[in-house]
Amino acid sequence: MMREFWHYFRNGLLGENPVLKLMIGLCSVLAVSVRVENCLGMGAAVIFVLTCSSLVISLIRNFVPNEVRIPIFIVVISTFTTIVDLVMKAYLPPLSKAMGIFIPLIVVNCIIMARAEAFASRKPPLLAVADALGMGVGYTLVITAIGIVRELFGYGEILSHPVFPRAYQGMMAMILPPGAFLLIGISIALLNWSLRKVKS
Amino acid sequence: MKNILRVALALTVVCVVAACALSVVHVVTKEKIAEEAKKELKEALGVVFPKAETFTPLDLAAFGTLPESKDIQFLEAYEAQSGGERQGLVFKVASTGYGGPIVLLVGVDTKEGKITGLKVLEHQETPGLGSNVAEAGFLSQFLGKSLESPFRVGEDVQAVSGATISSRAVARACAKVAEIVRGEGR
Repeated sequence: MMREFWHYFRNGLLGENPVLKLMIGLCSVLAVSVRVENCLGMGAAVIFVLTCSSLVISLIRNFVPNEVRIPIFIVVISTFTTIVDLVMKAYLPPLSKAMGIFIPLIVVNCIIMARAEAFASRKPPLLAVADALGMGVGYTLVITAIGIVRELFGYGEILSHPVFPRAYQGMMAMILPPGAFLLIGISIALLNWSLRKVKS
Repeated sequence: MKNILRVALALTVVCVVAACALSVVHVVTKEKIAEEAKKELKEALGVVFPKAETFTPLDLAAFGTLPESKDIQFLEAYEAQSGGERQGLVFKVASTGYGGPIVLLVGVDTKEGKITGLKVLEHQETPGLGSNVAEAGFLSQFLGKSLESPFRVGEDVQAVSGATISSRAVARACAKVAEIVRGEGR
């Protein structure tokens, strides 16, 4: 059981990384990854919603009739998303402001819906949690890596601490969404290249 | 028939449980969220009118016909008081910029007829260009400006380079607020 747990956890990190391999949840990656702080917040929110909803969906999988499984998944996911939204507004208002609309939009983040439909609704709770954690951490790693590059070259800062000399002007392309598109493309290429290299 | 009941039962149970969970979280966080919003507003008002201690909300209707157009809307007004005496006014205005409305607070000292401060609350201007109108470097040029000034970009207002439309939106907000306050004095 434990080996299976790790197998599914690792699956989300590399082999089936949601952003770089499955190419889902790209919208929020493009929008939020301007600053590392936002990436970590978004990552934590996605891990929380994904894990909780996968666990619940897996627990009730035998009770849910096939005809209404999608509406039921949506109710579960949106409940957890609303909880995150309210808690963030109450206790982390600056972060909640920076993320704006993208926290409520976790409801329609395809990573969560896809994992609920493809995995959690067919597997026992422990494995569903393993898959959710793997996918969530895989998402967070990629978005944070992109965030580091964008904040460093876009603002010359990391976590709002200046890294480059003050005269640094900042690369506009990194701050605007096209920068994220390019970086995601480069990351996908690098991952595929290194995986192929490891294989041969 | 039996199947329909089962489907309905499953949906009902899930929705009821979700609704209960949400109402608990709502009750727990409600006060804290309202408190945060209040604190944030108080801080913002303090920035645009540092001399005042208390701010009382005013009814916008009290100012008569407002000089509104499709590019500018008045959202809220506050009276800034110090020692129980009126020192000035603060207006919350939405002025159309390049990417959408720029919502900002404009503080006016009605005794001396001067702008006391500006703060941008919300905007969707281009990051790195228009977004600079929210920075102190641009906004500080309005501090202490007389309400008789024309508030025109290129004349008495220095635009952010590459962001004339965003700069104009801020200048327009000041001009319209000045217009109201001047009209009130007469």
